[in-house]
Amino acid sequence: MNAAVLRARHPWRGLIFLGGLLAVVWLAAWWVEFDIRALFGRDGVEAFRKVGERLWPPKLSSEVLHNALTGMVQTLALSIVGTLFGVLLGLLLAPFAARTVFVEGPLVDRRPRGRGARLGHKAVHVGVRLCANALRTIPYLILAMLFVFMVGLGPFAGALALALHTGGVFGRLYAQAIDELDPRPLLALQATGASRFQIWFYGMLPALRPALLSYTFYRWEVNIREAAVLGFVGAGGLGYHIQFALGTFHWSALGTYLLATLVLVLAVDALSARLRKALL
Amino acid sequence: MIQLQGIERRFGSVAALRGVALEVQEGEQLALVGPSGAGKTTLFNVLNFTLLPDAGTYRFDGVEAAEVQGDARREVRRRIATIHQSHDLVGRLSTLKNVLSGRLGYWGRMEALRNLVAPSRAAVAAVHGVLERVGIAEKLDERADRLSGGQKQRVAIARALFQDAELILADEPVASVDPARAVSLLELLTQTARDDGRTLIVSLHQAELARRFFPRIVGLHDGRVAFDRPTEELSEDELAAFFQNGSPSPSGS
Repeated sequence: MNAAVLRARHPWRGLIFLGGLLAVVWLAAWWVEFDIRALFGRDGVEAFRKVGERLWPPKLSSEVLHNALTGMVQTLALSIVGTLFGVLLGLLLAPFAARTVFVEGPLVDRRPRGRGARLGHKAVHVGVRLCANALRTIPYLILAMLFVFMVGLGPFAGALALALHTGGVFGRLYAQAIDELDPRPLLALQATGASRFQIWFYGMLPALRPALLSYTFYRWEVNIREAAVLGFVGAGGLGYHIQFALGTFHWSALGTYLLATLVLVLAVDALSARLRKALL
Repeated sequence: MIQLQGIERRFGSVAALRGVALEVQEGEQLALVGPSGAGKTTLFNVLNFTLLPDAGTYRFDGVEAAEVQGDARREVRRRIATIHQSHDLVGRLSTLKNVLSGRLGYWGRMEALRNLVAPSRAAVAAVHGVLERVGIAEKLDERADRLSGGQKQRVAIARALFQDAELILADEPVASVDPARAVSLLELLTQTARDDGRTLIVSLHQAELARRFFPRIVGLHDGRVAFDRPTEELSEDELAAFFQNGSPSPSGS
């Protein structure tokens, strides 16, 4: 055995790795001021019991029920609008964010005379990618706060934030899916004289269908959770009532709203799973 | 109609074509034979304006490959139909939509979208007619990825016929069908090409099919034209010798 193999098989290798991992976990716990006594000490347990007692039974006054119901409908609408407009935005961004449509690969002309057009395509590609990454990277709650400033309090700001954030995520995911497509059927279409626009609809979209559907349903399940807290920054949905109840110590109303959130999220998960099975 | 001069094409360090020269007249039918790796598929990709040669000139009906771009190139591409060796259908589209896509070069954006969503009765009837000719009309609405290899082959042929092109390139079009079907498909291809005055180039690896259906045979070996002769001047022994050692003469000149 040579030296490299012996080094790779150092007997302490596993121990060193484990020690490193423990050190990282300990450091991280120290940074978040992890305190086991606050959680499980006598005061901690007592505080939990008190909160639980106040949440239960949930308040069922007509005003609270009305808030919970309209909040649920609004949250559901936010998640649907955010997801569907995200799909549209993603489909718009993806062909430009993908490498194999305009930048390189068998569909792209490599001849020297096309250099000007290629530089233009490359610039658009880089710009769209940056844009999609920015939408994806900025936390959606921060986007929502920005839109609250721009269009005022309410669900419209939340819908914009959710749609743009989802569009950024989808633009990136779809672009990756496009780059992994088998180029041969696309080249066959190109050889019949099809334009890139026609290749997109006849060759790429049909091949992308399963990936598009499964990304969409997965993201809808994420978005219903995100829509539930958009109200914390005044952008509509159940989150608004949750935050108001928390801020004004209306514990039993808070219980109702939390229950409504739970029911809504579970219902969307179940529906999404069904639709996914039916369509894929 | 086709003029190739000194065509060279490399893929990285591999030279697929090394100086191919060929002339084909309008309405001619010829077989392209040669072992796999001889450069037949690359030559087809040059002929249908998918690949540009690294060196040499290619003219199709006076249109020089290195000179056309954009819409002008689309217009010349739609005059050339290709039946690809691996069929290259869009798996998740129906047979109908795959055959329809043969006409994309003639359609604008709106017409392409309309035919994808709701093809006109006339278009469906036309596709059905072509599918009947290749013997697979019952698969009109079947998804292409659910067809067998031989069925895909026939859909690929139907797409090329539906394109209504002046030149048909067929890369091993009978490789995945049984011998009886191979004969009937080659009859169909040569007959329709003759009836409609189309030029036809078919690559084959079965010497007897090449001799039976084509009046001219071109042998491609190692990226070069090894021979180019009328079939009557090419004996069975010479063709057998070519398949064995890349040259039609026993001395290997």
